[in-house]
Amino acid sequence: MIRALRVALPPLTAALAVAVLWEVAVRMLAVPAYLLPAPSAIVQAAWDDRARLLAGTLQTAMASAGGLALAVAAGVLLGSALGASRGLQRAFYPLALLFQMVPLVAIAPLLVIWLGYGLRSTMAAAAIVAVFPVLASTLDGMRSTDTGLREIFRIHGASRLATWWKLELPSSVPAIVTGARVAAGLAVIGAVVGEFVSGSAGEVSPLGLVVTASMRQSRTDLVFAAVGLSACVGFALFGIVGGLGWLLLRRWHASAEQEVRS
Amino acid sequence: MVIASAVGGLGVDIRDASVRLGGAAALGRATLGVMPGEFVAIVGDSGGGKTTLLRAIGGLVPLAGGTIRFLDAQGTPVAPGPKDIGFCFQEGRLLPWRSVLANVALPLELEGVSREARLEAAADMLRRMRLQGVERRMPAQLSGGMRMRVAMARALVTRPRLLLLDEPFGALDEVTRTALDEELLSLVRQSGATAVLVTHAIHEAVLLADRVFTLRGRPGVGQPPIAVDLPTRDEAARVSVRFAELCAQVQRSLRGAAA
Repeated sequence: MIRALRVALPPLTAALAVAVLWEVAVRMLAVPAYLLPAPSAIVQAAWDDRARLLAGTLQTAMASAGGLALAVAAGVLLGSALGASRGLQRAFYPLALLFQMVPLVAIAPLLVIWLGYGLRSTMAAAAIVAVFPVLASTLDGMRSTDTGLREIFRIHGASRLATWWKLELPSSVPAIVTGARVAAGLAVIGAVVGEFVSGSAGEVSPLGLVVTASMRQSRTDLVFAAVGLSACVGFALFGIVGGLGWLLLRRWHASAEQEVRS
Repeated sequence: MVIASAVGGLGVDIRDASVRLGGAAALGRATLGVMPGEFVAIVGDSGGGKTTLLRAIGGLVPLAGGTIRFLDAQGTPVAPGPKDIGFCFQEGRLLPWRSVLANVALPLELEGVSREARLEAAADMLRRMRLQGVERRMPAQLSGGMRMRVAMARALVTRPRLLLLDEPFGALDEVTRTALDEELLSLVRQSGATAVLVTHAIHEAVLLADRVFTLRGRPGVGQPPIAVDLPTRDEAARVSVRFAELCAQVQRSLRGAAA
């Protein structure tokens, strides 16, 4: 408990200091609310619109989490496939890299054409941006599997599949967790950008749609509230991935040990 | 506490074996006949190819020339399966995400032995090595000596007919090493398996082996094996005059007649 406080206190204090500074600056300089609303005004606006924002946050969280799950599954499988064969890697890794370079905003309309408006498109958008770091880190983990351990498997006549499942995959878990942590933040970005384009199929407005709609109405306070909430979604996702990673690694990997100590 | 071996040790017939790795000669030439159940130590300069020779016996590197054949007690050539050869490496090579028990059971698991049977066999092996109580521990929680004993248990769990030991205790301190040497010797004798040990420590080779095979130079060229005629392999043997003479003889064999 005390340890948790020690971890949480410095960033919370810093955030509070920034908010106070912001509040004071906005009031003293009399900045118009449509340009930069004061933190208190943002909180007030968010509270007034809490039902809509909460529903939107859940919607965005679902798209991000679903997209991230898809990205991890696809990234691990694709990364494993590329890691298993030099030929596949030579042929497909540059393509994956190229795919990563395509701006999501440019693909999002295609996703709407293929998957329709709503959750399916935004989830796909989240998955597309999040998949690369998982793929790359899985590939890295596969390639850096200890050669001595590989030899043990070879000596005992392990099949290709058994070597993957019992050796390469477990030894790649630390790398995969690192990739998934990066992917967690990206998934939220993907979901929100996807929502800009594909919006909502039902009554609920996800956070990305809240941002664009509030912008048109010059409700800058709500834009800020939606941005803050999507950051919270990202933070929560990051925390969940970190926690799952710790559960997987705590019994054997140094990275999990350090987290316990700090 | 007899570890019964189903079929007895394998003989190894090495003739003019040479190995090239990456275009360079890694093992010059080696000829050696290892009798079934015999304990042979290979010593040589670092970079002389002793590990390479061991790996060639285990089928991990191809021969550039010569032959390596395996023989049963009757002298009939046989083709050993993965179960018949046990490997033990200096680094231990345990899977860090698996418990001790699951690590020891790994070779059986990869050979398709049922879960119950392999865990039973692994637990049994650990008991025989007086390692009960650490089954659930992770490798990182063990001392270096303990890890090597677990690695040895894993090498022995398939009841191999040939045990290939690549400087198994090279990374350990002298006291732990001596204790493990004695344990290794009794385990190997009980199992009836043939053992080939690579080591750079001459005294370890003389203490453990029935014969010491030296590789001279780089790449190493095999010299005539030296028979170790010590009556016992204990503390008394280690301080005996004959022990010192044998060590000197191995030393001479490594350096050549001129040295």
